Amino acid sequence: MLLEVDNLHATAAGTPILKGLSLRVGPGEVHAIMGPNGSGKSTLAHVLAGREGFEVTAGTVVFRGKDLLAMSPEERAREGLFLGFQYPVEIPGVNNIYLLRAALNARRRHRGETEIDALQFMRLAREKARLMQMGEQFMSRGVNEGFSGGEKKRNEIFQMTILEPALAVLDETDSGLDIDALKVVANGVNSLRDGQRSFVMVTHYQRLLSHIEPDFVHVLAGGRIVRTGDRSLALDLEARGYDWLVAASG
Amino acid sequence: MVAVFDAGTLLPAVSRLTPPDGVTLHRLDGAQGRLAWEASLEGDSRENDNALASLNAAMLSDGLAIEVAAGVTATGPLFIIHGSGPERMAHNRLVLRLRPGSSCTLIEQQAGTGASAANSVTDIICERDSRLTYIRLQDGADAAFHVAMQRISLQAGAEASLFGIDLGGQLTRNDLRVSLDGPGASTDIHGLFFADGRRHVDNQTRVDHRAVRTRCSEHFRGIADGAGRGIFNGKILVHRGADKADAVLRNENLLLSRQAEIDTKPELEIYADDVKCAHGATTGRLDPASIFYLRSRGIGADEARRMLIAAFAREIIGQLPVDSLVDHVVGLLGSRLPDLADVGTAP
Repeated sequence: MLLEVDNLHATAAGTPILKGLSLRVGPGEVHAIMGPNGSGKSTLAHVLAGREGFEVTAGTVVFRGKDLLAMSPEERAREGLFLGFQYPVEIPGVNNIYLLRAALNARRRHRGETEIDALQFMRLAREKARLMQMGEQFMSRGVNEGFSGGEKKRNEIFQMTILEPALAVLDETDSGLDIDALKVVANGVNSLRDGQRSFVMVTHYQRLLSHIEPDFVHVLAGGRIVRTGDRSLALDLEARGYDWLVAASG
Repeated sequence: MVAVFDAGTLLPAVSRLTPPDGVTLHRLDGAQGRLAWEASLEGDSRENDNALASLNAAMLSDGLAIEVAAGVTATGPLFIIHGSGPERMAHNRLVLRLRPGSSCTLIEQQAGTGASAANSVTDIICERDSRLTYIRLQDGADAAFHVAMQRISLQAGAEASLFGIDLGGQLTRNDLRVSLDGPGASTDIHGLFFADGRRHVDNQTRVDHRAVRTRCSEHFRGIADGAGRGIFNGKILVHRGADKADAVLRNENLLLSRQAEIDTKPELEIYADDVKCAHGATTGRLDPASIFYLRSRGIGADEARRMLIAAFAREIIGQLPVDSLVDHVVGLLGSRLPDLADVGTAP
């Protein structure tokens, strides 16, 4: 298993959000996590990435055989976890490309690899920027500085294609995207699918799943996964909403 | 051109005193120094309401008067270095006059070593339609005292881009006075100060709008860490009759520790009716969401903080008109943030 979440309980500001969530992600799998607002989807993404402000009160998370919850956010990233933010922050003055090269080299050092030099890196960045249909001007700007909502999301996926994580947790990457941008984002994600790399996609909408085919669809409600199925479950949800599931799970 | 002063005395042997075409140099030394200084000002009044400026005038023993001839664009920056060894006091004096339609870049670097003290006065007169870039960079030793005053007057249509960057020194005090004397005179002022340890950095700025259609945009950023203290008093005064004046004054500060202190007071005083003025100041910490974002990409917590500090400073440093100077100043700041390497430099 790449990721094993077992009986995870977490609180935010003292309020229980996750109440016994279990999830197993194998290599090469794509999991979609759907569910009504407030069910804990984004909390799960943030707890996995190690954001401050959430307290894990019970349960375990094992990532590539290691205790994920014992690691700092940067250690998790260097171990191969990537969080695609729902609301990526703007950081004026920190050059987008500079950040990415520092991030990639932090990961390479962690794995005992040599650092990538500036020239090699620019070649890699240009190639990935083309894939994400991002102009060079986006690369040289401050991180997300002045980007539109859709550009920010594309930048998240651009970063992911360069960092090549083992597991990408994408938090509502599809929200706020028009159909063309959605295709570009899906294209970026699909370019990384190689049978080993895995994805956990938090989403509200079925439409993302018609571009990125999931192996599993989970419904998160009341802080737990109440139903797991295949793609057809997402279509059911699209047609029927969540109420029938939430009611059935009590 | 490079002029190196040690404790207020010009060192011709280590200077390169051949000025660019159209630029003349006049040394303000010896018994005639004070008279030469007054002559270089051509009666342009300089109020002696400041004790340290008066002390500087009284102690004047050396200095430079520089003049850029009408219509001349001086090639390369005029670079003045004020050094001072331990236990020495320097009274530095500089006069720059830009004749009509001329332009030049003046860089003044203040770098006292050990427990030295410098008291500098710089007078600049920008005549009609001249263009000035002035960069003051203070990177003194942690025990050094720096007191400096710049008095800059701009005649009609003149433009000045001014930088004041204070990174070092135990006690630093700057008085920047800009007088927009002629119609359409315009200035952009960029300031950055960094006070860590127990260092004290005080910036006092005053801009006088004395003519119609004068414009000023002033932007200072301060960073305080440890038990450092930073002070910014920025005053913009729009005099009666200076209609259509346009003034913006901004000050943003970053507090990095509980003991650090920033005192800021942006002020507007307006006696004209038809003006456009704005001012504001903010003081805050590093943004936790930004730190988390960087860490989530694999950047260590300390490095993330240093990146954000450098980014904050870069908003000012990045405005420097010389690329090599941008990198140099980022490097200087980096060397003052422990373990900071090539922060924010694009590959």
